[in-house]
Amino acid sequence: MTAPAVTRPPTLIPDEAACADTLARLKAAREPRVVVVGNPNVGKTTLINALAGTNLKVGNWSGVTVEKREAHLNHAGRRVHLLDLPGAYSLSPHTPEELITRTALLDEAPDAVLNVLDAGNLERNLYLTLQLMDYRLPVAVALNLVDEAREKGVQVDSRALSRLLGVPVVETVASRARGTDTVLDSALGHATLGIGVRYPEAIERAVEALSTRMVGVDTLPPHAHRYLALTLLEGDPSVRGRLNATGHAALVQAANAQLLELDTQGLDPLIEIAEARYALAGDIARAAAPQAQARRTVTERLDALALHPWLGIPLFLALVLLVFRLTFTVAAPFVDLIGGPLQDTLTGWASAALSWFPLARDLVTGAIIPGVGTVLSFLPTLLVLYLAMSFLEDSGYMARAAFLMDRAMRSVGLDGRAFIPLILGFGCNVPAVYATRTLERRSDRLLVSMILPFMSCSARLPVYVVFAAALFPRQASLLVWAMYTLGMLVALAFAFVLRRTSYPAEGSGVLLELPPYRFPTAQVLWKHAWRRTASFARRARTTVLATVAGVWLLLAIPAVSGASFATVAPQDSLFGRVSQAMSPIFAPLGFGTWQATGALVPGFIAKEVVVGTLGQIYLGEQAARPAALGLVDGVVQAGRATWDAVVASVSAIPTILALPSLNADATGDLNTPLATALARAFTPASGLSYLVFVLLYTPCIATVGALAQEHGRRFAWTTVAYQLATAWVAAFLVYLIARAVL
Amino acid sequence: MTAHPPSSPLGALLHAIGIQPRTPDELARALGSTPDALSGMLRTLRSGGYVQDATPQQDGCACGPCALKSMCRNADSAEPALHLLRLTPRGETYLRRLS
Ligand SMILES: Nc1nc2c(ncn2[C@@H]2O[C@H](COP(=O)(O)OP(=O)(O)OP(=O)(O)O)[C@@H](O)[C@H]2O)c(=O)[nH]1
Ligand SMILES: [Mg+2]
Repeated sequence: MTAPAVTRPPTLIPDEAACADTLARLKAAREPRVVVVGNPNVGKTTLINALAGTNLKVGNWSGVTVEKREAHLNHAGRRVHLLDLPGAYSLSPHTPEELITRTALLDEAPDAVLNVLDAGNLERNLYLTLQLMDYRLPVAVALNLVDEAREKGVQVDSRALSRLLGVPVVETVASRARGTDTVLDSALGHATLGIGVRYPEAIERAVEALSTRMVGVDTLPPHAHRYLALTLLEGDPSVRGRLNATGHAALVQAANAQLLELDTQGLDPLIEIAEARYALAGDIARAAAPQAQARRTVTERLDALALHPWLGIPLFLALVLLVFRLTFTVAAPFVDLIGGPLQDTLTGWASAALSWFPLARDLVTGAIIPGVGTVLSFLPTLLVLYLAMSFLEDSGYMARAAFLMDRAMRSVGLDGRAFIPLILGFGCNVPAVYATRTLERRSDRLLVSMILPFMSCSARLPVYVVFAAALFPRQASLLVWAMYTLGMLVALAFAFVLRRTSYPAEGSGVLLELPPYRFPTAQVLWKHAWRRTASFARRARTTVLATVAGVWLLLAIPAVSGASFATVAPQDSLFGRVSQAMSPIFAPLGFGTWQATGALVPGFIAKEVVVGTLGQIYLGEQAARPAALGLVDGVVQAGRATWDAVVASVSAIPTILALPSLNADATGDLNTPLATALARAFTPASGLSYLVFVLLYTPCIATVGALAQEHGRRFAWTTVAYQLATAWVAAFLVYLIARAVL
Repeated sequence: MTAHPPSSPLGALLHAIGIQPRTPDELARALGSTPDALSGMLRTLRSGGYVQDATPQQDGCACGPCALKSMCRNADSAEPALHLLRLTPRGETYLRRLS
């Protein structure tokens, strides 16, 4: 796991006489008892069932066998007892199952140990093997699960393993009874004392001293002396309790004295003993399965690309661009449908139904339908966007994106944890503000709250979409993508500047467990995307509806003498006049009209209201005197338009991947009346500057409220002010550049 | 921290945890190993009292609707899916002695 060991860890080689002796006893045993030991879920029980024809319970999870079970069989004229033990990672018991296994090894006086290993996980499994060898019992190894290991690309050299461990090793696939016949021959005819771990010298001396005290005590079987001495030095409480209770308190005392002595030498036996075992286990595993790391999993291979130091971020940005292309392509026909024919139909019906109530008819056909309707027309866009985003999340890619963000964040001196609120900000800034609570330091919370509103929340998307479609139909998705990217860049730039000036940086870890990649199911995608789309729709019913009604009222109140309520020309209404008064502020940005200015003000309430208000202003007038529409005519008209939209959407799908025309998609063609109106009212340069302003100015009143609640009113209003200033300056610069270039 | 990570397996692992609290996954990445291979060592270190869970901050966080919740170690779920590990004084002592 670390740099390859230069020197082999030292081992104890058992003396040949002792080996010959144990083997002779094993062969002489009339009814040999073999204990089957191994890590959980490596196939111990399966192996026993295959050998003995028993039907002990197996299952593909750890801890299936929870007590010892016995199976019997006849082998070469002898009756053999096979003891199935619960899985154990080590013989220093941490679980009740491990305690059972350890106790059985101490008390059952086994004639041989059959150690089952998972060939695909050698390093971890060998720890137990080496611990077993501290018992001086004959051991044979069944190298099981070789089929699964091979699938993982791990090839274990069983001969090398046998040589290194000093015990026989047989390859098996227990579930298909492969190699199982040889296993018994090996365990009953060749099992022997393997190599042992040689611990640091001082520990070996202490072990020696303690073992000497155990010689001749018949309640302490000789095969367990070394193991017991080590366990005493490890401070294992259950062994100490057992020895104390069986009249060996003096032994425990002696161990304590040894521990004190080791401590004065600065040695901590617990970890030194484990270190020596892990060092040897790792060494043997590397030597026996040299190409263990050869084949990388799909996830690892994908991650090499996704998390690549240079390619990672460009890849992420490219994927996001692809998502926007998809969003435009698939959703555009439906946006057209809702923003055009369906709205016309509704308007027609409403004006027919409300023909006797002119004021209500005005409100519905001139404000609610164009205002709320325009916002709702983006539901398909959001649904597709959320579907694509859910795909990125559920496939496991989003975790990688967050990992990349984390890296970028720390490069500007931010707490790595900051990426959570920032990523949340793409959905909605409000929960993102609350999520800053996860940051430990107040200065981090403040800083992240200040830059967070620059992350483009989904409410801003409709504004981009309609402007992109109206003014840059060929590069629509690229433009939307550029807006999101610009938001991130501005946020990071501010983080960089503020961090350098006011708060010192602090390194904090990566926060993620990277899940393996997998293909998400359609149901899960739909569920996630639908929930988010529904919450957008809910806002249209509440916030947007209320704002639109408010704007309608302001548009209806005359600000000049001689006009009356609801018949005043929009530019002479209270709304029109106030907007007009403010518009000079925006004239340098290229959009000093009262309509453009006017839409920004309700945008404080919620960003999607900007398109709602634009719809109301530009379309409300022409919709104010609509032709009434009959019910049947309406249904026919709407049905025909819906069918057209489905056909257009499906037939546009192949163009998504029509590379290399990255910036020339024919997909942004929105034909809503609002897009047409905007194309007349804005130039490309002023439209661009408008979008930049919308991206960067205060996201919405709810965010300001959250900021005030978290950090106080002063902080909230300061943030509003500096964001307005940033938005103005950035839009101004963009306008200057765009006018020169476009 | 030591300039050169220790060459012993547990020492290297403690060293990596000592740089900053990490999850098993992150440790495996940092050490060029696999979580499977490390799991046994982490068990040993945890039960020996050399490392412990660095419990995330508990005070409320708006994790409710967050799509990243499952991977976030700050998520306020009852059972944290992640185990962020950090050194205990015992672990620090051992690491200091190694260097
Ligand atoms: N592919 C494959 N699967 C195996 C092999 N041996 C066992 N299995 C499967 O692995 C799973 C675990 O087998 P068990 O015999 O219950 O494992 P165990 O070691 O007794 O597990 P515990 O009792 O929980 O410690 C079962 O689903 C077996 O079918 C093998 O060699 N190859
Ligand atoms: Mg079992």
